[in-house]
Amino acid sequence: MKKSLHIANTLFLIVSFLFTSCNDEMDAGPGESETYIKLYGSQNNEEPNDMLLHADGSIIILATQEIIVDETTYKIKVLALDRLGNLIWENRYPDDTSESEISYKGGSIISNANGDGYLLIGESINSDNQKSVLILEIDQSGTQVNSTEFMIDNGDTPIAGVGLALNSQGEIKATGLIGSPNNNLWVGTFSSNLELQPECSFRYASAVSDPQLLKSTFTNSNDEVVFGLTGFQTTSSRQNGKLVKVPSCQPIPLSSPFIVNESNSISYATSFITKTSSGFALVGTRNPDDGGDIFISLVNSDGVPFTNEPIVFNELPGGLILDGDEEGFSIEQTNDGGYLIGGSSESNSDGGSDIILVKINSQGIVQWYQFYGDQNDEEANIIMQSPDGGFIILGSTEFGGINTLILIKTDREGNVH
Amino acid sequence: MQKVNKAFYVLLIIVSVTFCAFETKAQTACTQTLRQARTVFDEGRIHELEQLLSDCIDNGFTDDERTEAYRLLILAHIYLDETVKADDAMLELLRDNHGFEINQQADPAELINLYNTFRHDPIFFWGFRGGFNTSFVNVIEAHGVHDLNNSNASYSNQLGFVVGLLIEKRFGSRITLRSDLQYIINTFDHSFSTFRRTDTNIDIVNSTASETQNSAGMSLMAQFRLFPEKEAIRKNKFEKLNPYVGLGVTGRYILSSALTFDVSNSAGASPDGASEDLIDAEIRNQFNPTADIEFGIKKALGLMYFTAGVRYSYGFLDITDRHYDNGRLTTFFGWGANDINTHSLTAFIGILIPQYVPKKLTK
Repeated sequence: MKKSLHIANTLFLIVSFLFTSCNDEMDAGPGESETYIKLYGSQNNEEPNDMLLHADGSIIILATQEIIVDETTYKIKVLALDRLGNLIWENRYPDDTSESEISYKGGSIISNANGDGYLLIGESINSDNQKSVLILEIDQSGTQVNSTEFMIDNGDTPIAGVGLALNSQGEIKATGLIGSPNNNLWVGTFSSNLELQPECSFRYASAVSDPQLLKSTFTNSNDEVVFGLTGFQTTSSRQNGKLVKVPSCQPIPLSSPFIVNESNSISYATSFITKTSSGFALVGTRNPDDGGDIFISLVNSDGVPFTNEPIVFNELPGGLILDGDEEGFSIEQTNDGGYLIGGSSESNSDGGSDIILVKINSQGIVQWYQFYGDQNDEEANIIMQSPDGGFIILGSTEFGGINTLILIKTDREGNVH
Repeated sequence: MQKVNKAFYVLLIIVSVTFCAFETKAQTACTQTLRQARTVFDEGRIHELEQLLSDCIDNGFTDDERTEAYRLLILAHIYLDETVKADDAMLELLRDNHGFEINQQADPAELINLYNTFRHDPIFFWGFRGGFNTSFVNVIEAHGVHDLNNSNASYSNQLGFVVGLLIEKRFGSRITLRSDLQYIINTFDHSFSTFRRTDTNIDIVNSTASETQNSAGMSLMAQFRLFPEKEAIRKNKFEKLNPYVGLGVTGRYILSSALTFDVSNSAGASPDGASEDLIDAEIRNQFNPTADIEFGIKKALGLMYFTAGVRYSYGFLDITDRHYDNGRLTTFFGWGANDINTHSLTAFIGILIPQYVPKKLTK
């Protein structure tokens, strides 16, 4: 009898231990994973602007929040993520203690010259609705350490900061777009402590109507500033893109050809530019107003296209016809010399527009493609190749009807698992 | 038509009454025969018993009377040294009354010895049982779509149920091996916050994903009786319950795993509803083996046993194959699958039916 009760007691203790041994998510902690999908949202619509990927796989995201209370205002939001996509910190600018009605909109973000913080460029809108270029410097924990704003014509002409790059002297080259009616481009130079150098800051004629600057801005070995532009050709009503190259401290931009022959009657609205081993790659939407297709154009370092016609994606391997509205938003050259293209597509059967990724080799042959999304509208705005050979996609999804940031980390074939 | 019906009912009543009357008459006559047989046995005229009892054994005794008649007949054959006939009569008795037990104190040693040369225990038990379970979830690694560095997610257990067919075989006086075929429904909730307000840091999207898994399982368990088998008359009340503990394994195969979302979004629309099946989405592994510990009782109810108990099943494998899908689960519902193993506690009741095949044991 005693022995039997002892057995029963031992089993009771074992079962009691098993009951209390269940971990919840915080106990277990984030799991190591090659891939992930993360949503970052709030009560506000949020638009992704830019992304920085560190060698350890950690990520900085720049986004803009639209805050609708009595009036609509905007804040820049920066998120620091670990290599598993989980939040380390997030900050908003202007910070939440500020009661001013100033709005900030994000443009792009780079690491500062010392590598101990980040530089953000965007647009500042004051209570008088005057728009100026905004540059913020934040440290690695997101604390604002410096800022400057640049206004033209005493604020009578709107200007928005779009891109940033550092030249060989550690100076900050900023690109901006001067709004209607001028529709000019602006390239400014700032010292590392954000002081404007007027002698190296100029306005340039865009030579297109309704110009849009592409946010990625580069400097080359000659300290020339290189960036992309799209707009309506003055000779026709169709959109076209081009590379713009501005010499250091000279007021006249070098001319470069459009990526599509000017006599072509089809619109090619360019969205994004990235540097490649042989020049630059641009991505955009062909015929954006008429069942758009994703296209890319590969150009040399002077902006001269390698092919007469851009590569257009309207059919994918397996016979999938992209007959819905497609838009190309981002492109990245991959380690194998090919390219990964990101955008949105309505040709998947899930409803709404989905994120589409298309991987091509260096000859432009499609190797694989992936869709992500369901009945919400999704799009991929920034893509980068991660240190492990997979890909990071920053985009947006309409979660619960609110525009929300989505970050997807895939394996080398674009799979998440 | 009405006349025909009336005639049928009258005929039925007459037949019934007649049958009952004959039955009662036969029983009454055989009861007297048994009484006479006892007298004959006590007077030592045991060679008359076989002829005296044979008709009523074939037809007329009640179950208890027939058992006593066989007992007298067996003793008569033993005392007449008719061993073959004694064996035959014992075999007939054991076939007729599966629950026949020797009274160690009262029965003659010769009867006890003969009884012990026969297989009189059930060769196996079969039965069915059912009960309710509740599931516990252990997170091995977190992989949600929400921020996992500041997760307030939790799992809560919900009621499920299990039904099954089982078969048992005893080995010795303490060990029983049992195998079950089970149909199991496990349900648990995964609650988490997806977003917080950026101004007040209050959660604005709270989701509960209820997962219901339908599984088929087959288990093998070794049971250890806490008290060795002995005569029922010598057992105390607790011992009569035949308490046991068991250890075993169950191979579960998840047939389907449905996820239903209840989302509260104070800032926008709430994406509620059912997702696609997690098996179809290749989110869950289908094989989910468990190690089982069980405590139960088996109470004799006539020739059957009532069984009841509790079982703790420890799932030792990660049942998540894939953490994210490319669409509805992640972007619409905002859910990713953690690496988990699931455990369950089941309370059950059931019936065990013994299967007897008595036979003379060879030495």
